[in-house]
Amino acid sequence: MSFATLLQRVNTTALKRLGGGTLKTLGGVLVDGDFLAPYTQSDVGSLGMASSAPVLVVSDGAAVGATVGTPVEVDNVAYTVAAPPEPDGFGFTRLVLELAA
Amino acid sequence: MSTLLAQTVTAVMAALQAAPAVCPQVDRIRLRPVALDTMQAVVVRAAACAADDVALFSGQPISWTTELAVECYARTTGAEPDAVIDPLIEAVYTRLMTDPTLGGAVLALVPKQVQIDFEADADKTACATLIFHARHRASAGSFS
Repeated sequence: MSFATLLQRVNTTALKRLGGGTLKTLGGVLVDGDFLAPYTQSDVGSLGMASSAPVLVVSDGAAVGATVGTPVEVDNVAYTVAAPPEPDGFGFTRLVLELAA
Repeated sequence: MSTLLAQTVTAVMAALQAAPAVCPQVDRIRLRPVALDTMQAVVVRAAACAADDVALFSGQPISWTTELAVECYARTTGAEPDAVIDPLIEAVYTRLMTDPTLGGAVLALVPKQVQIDFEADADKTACATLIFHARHRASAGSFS
């Protein structure tokens, strides 16, 4: 088994078993992924505004076709892809999300 | 009696909160980030105070200028953030300039500057900081 194949299998299993969030769709297609939305503080004014920084990490294959504006839904909360996809070079692609209107 | 700093902030707060308030949340010198469930907020604070001139003789009145910051915060998930912050800027500015003496609390409230920040996370946020100079005249030996 090549290293690339092994890596893909490990990535697929990791996303399926360990990914945060239960039901995730990307562009209307069900995907395995790791969803995180940690607290962050929007750096505006002298105080800032409480916010969160949602990201969805999916396999490179699942991210094909994802662009800015692609709809994402995680546990019935609607997001859109907010920035160009960020492949990490190891088989995962990080999608920066924002809440949909 | 409170200082002219506190009096000025109190007068600005009263103007902004007078019904109908310019915004559901108007805070005085808030020290924490605007909460996640708050769509709009206004925060008032005195930033600095300086004597305009120094009396040559003791006992003469002193003119003071207080720099006030009125921060207008807004968040949106749909519209661009400048579209949601703009009406709030207009409401705050119009309210304060309707009576630039703030009911007699200051000699004059003078607009000086507007600074605007934008940020994007899960939602889009904006803050416009309106800087005003409040002019006062206080008797010597008193800061009120």
